[in-house]
Amino acid sequence: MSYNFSLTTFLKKGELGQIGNALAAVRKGHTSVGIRGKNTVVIATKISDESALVDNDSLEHVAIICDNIGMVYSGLSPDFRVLVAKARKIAQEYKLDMGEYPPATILVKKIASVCQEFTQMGGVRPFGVSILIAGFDDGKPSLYQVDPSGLYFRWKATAIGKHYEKTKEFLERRQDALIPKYPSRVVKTIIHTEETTEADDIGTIISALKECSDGEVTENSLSIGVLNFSPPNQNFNTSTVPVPSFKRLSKSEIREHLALLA
Amino acid sequence: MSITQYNGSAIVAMTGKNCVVIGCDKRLGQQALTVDMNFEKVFRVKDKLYVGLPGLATDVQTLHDRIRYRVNMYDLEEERAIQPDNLAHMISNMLYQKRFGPYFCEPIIAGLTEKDEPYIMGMDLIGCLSSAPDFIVGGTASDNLYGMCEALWEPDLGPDDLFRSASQALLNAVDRDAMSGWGAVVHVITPEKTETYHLQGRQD
Amino acid sequence: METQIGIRGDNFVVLLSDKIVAQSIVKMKHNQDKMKQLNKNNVMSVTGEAGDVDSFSEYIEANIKLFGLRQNRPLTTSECAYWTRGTLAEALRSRSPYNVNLLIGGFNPNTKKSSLYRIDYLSSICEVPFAAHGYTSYFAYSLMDKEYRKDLTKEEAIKLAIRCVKQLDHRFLVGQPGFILRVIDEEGIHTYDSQPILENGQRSFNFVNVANNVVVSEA
Repeated sequence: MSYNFSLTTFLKKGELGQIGNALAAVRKGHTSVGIRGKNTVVIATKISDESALVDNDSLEHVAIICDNIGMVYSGLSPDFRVLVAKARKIAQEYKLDMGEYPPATILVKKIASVCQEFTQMGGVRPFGVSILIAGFDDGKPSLYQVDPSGLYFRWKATAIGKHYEKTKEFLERRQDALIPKYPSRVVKTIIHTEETTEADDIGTIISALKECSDGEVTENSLSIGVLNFSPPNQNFNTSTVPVPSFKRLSKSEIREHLALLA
Repeated sequence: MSITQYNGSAIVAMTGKNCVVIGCDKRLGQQALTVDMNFEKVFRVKDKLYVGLPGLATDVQTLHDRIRYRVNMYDLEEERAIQPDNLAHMISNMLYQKRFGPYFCEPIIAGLTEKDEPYIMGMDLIGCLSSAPDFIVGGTASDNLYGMCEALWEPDLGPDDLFRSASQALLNAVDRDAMSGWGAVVHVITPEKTETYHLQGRQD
Repeated sequence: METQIGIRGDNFVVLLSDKIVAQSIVKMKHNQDKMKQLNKNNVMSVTGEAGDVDSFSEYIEANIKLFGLRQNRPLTTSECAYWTRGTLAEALRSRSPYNVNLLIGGFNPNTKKSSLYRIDYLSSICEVPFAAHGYTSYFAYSLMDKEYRKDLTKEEAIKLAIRCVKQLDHRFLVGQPGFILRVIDEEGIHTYDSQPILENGQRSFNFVNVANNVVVSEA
């Protein structure tokens, strides 16, 4: 007689069924996109608008983990909340210990190992989310993706969730294409090279979501997070040097970016 | 007598222009009885980062073991050299975790930062950090060391002059302290290299 | 009140300890061996609180033997010493610390060098040429400071230990009447028992090798 306490067991063909199912849940979730720029990372998601009655403002799609790290997800929002809580705790514990917030790679490794544990531990199921994490490594921006299996990648730009393949193709096409839609100036937007600005990246992300995801793209259906260096002695930065900061864009800010693309 | 004075020790760290030095005496005693004359209390953490552990010898050794463990793990996990301020926080945290049963040791950190700026930091036995622009001293000879450093330290000393000041401060301080002495070790940390000098001092 | 001395030569270590088990002012036993053989080239001598001495030294002895079996090699002196220190240090911060003072001496057959470690009840460890614990140290250290040389021969080291013991007998209020001395060298461990003798009306000790009855005396 053998007992099996794990829900995640290997199939005959050598796969873990539950992980495949978790990925299916991710593919059903709303589309999320991330782009790494020269000094910035932009991550965003298209919030589903299944019912006009839902007040989207109550949902936290782009989560601030600490001053210099943010993340967004595709998949099950309750699962994401658990990961956000864990990530915040990891970041604060790191700060308590080392006197500074973790570099993105450290947080990513720890989150990924949490995800892995949930594929092996008894009595649990894998997380039904893939996440995009924006952070800094050695003062340079990085964009990571973490999957339910605990697998993680570093991207220049990527997309997860519904229509992710289409969205990634869009990003690939944009890699060295012009963005003629910018009215104010003709910007040659080669993403992930030294030349893009934060606004370019936000523009590219909005275009990608507009083109590739379902439904209308408005300031109400978008959630955008930007990681950059906040200038010294401004807002909350009391330091005399630029410090990394992750912020969510307000509705009016998103509206401005939408207007630029219109 | 406080338990921190049971074994005897003297440690000094000083900043200079693009350099720092940290040095310690070599005595290990049990109160007035000298047991070992080759007991170093300053340990290398990285090429340009040293930690001095004045206080109860058993805790000096236990802390050194634990710091080495944590720094090795940091190296493997983060694949980069730990910076002095991170090390200071790490040790401070380590000490505060034992707030109500502390290690009787008041660590001193000395090193150069990523940008080769001098860094020194001291803390008490429960991890309260205290920084100083000039020097930090610790151990049973700390009162004497304060006086010596106050007299000998000047801003922007080069490595050679800084070594001389720190060594003179240390040797003269331990000569007037019964609990420390028996020679000294001084590490001079510069952007290019770290040199270690063993000083003879009074052997009595 | 217990006596514990260690002297390290280049390729041997001499350990000496008394044989008395005392409770308050009463001597309960006169022939207690206060050393443990950790493996074929390492010996640990232990003094301290009665119960702690036995339970701690037996625990260390058994574990070091276990390591030897698991790794199919005898542990070196430094391995024995540092592991023992770690165990004692952990206990120090627990609810049941051990009150024991240790000397660990041994010979490394690979490097052909000997080493002597001194660990006190607070578990600070140091590698030293010679060592003593407790009241003995106030009598023995000055003599060893004066007489110790790096190139001491086995005979000379034993004679130095005898001089320390004689000094104790002469000056220490609660000196002991008998001692066990061990020499650890390339050949293994040699055990000597003390034999009191009278020298011009003053007591001294000869040490007799228990295996072959060879006597070493101070003269």
